[in-house]
Amino acid sequence: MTQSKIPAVLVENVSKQISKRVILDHVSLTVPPAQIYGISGPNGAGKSMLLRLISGLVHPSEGKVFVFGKEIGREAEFPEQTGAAIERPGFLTHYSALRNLELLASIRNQITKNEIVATLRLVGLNPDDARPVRTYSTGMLQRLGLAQALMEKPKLLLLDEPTSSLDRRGIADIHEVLKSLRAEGITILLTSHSADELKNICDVVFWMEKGYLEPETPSQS
Amino acid sequence: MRATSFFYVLSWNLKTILRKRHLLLTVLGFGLIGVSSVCYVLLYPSPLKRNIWDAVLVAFAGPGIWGNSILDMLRWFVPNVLFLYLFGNIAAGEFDRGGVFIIPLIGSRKMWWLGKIATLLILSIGYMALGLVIVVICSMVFLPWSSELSPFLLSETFLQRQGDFQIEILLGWITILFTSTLFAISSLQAALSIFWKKSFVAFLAVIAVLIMSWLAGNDHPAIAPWLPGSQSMLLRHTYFDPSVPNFSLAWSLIYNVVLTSIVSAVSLWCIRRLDIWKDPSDSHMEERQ
Repeated sequence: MTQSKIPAVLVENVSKQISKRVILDHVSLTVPPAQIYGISGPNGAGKSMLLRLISGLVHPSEGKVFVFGKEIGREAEFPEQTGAAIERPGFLTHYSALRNLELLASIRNQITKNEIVATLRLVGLNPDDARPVRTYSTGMLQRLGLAQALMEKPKLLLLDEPTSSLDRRGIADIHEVLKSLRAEGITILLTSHSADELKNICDVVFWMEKGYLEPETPSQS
Repeated sequence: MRATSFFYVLSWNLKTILRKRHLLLTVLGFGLIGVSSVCYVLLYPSPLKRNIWDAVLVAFAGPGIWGNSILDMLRWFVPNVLFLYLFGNIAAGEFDRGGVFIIPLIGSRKMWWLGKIATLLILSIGYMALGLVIVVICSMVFLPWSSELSPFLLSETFLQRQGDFQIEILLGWITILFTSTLFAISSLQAALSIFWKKSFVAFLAVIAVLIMSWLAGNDHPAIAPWLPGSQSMLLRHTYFDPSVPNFSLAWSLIYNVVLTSIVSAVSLWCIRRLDIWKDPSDSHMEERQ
């Protein structure tokens, strides 16, 4: 395969069982670069588990996951150039948003403070806001989670219900951000309870139920 | 992808776990132990002269084999429990805060886990050093400074044997054994908290281990060297109590190193195979199927 034809994400016949309960049932998925793919479905359908598998946090019981051509768990422990907002945002509640991101950025030490500030502005947060994040609303924390996933300029974004706590205007803002990222060549895989919301922004939307991923349906966008 | 430096991982761990209240509680805890030790030394009925090293040794001597004094036990137990309470949850606490995404950021489960273990070592050294300084300061307020051990300490009123003890050697062994025991026990707590998924249960388990070690070692010199936690009970060692056979200070150091190595290696093997996440049912880890 040439570099340009390597899918950003390739999930091959992946299953996941936990305590004999089937969470994912022979799921296959191909996400090409610079696309927004969405997965919708009810609670407990396995959407978040699929993102955890792709992010390398969880090992598949069966099947393989490739990110940018590298098999996760064999060729790479975690996917490279990937930003993820999968779990509940886990920030240090006594620090400001900027301080939190500075601390997180210090783990890899790859980006400057100016880049962090720009990312906070991009997701609609004020970098000069000195309030500790414990005073933030759930929606603001969600924006901060998105900023954390975005700040190191990943090529792949894995977002688990990134707009679930936002109002309509907030959702529209985040959609605009995601569209602009797609235009820059970033691949995005996101989940949502709302298939309608996903259809507004995604190139392709999947439906997931009881660990089974239904065949893709091109969206309206 | 650019590899994350181990230095940055250590830096992250220290920045996220250290709080002002930790410093405050450490000062308070060791302050109380210092005052309690000074009181013990001052109130002990003896005509012999005393100095600050009497109180320092009382503070860190730990319970003896034959003593069974609850106060001696508490002076040893409280600093251990305080350290485990403040820092023992270093790994699972990160997940409890929703920080499972830290591991992909670091890029390696191995580096994440070894970072936690190395941070515990740094914290053990810092905690012990701070504790020693606080106890010395408390002692200096009430007892005279001296460059030598006191006749009181060298009499058989406190130690089970008289000997040619030197301050430097005494302080060295106190620091090494207390620090290495803190490190070994807190590594065990960190590992248990990851695998049991319940931070508080792991905390209670290691406290139970410490209490059992104290109780089981009482009046049983033959088994004391094998009990985890006994290694920081200075007075249970043959060097200070000849009636305890084969419990050398070097044995304790080796015991702690071996225990920490086994805990770290087994944990690392398991962590590489574990699924990691935090979910609403509080099960951030599930055994790989």
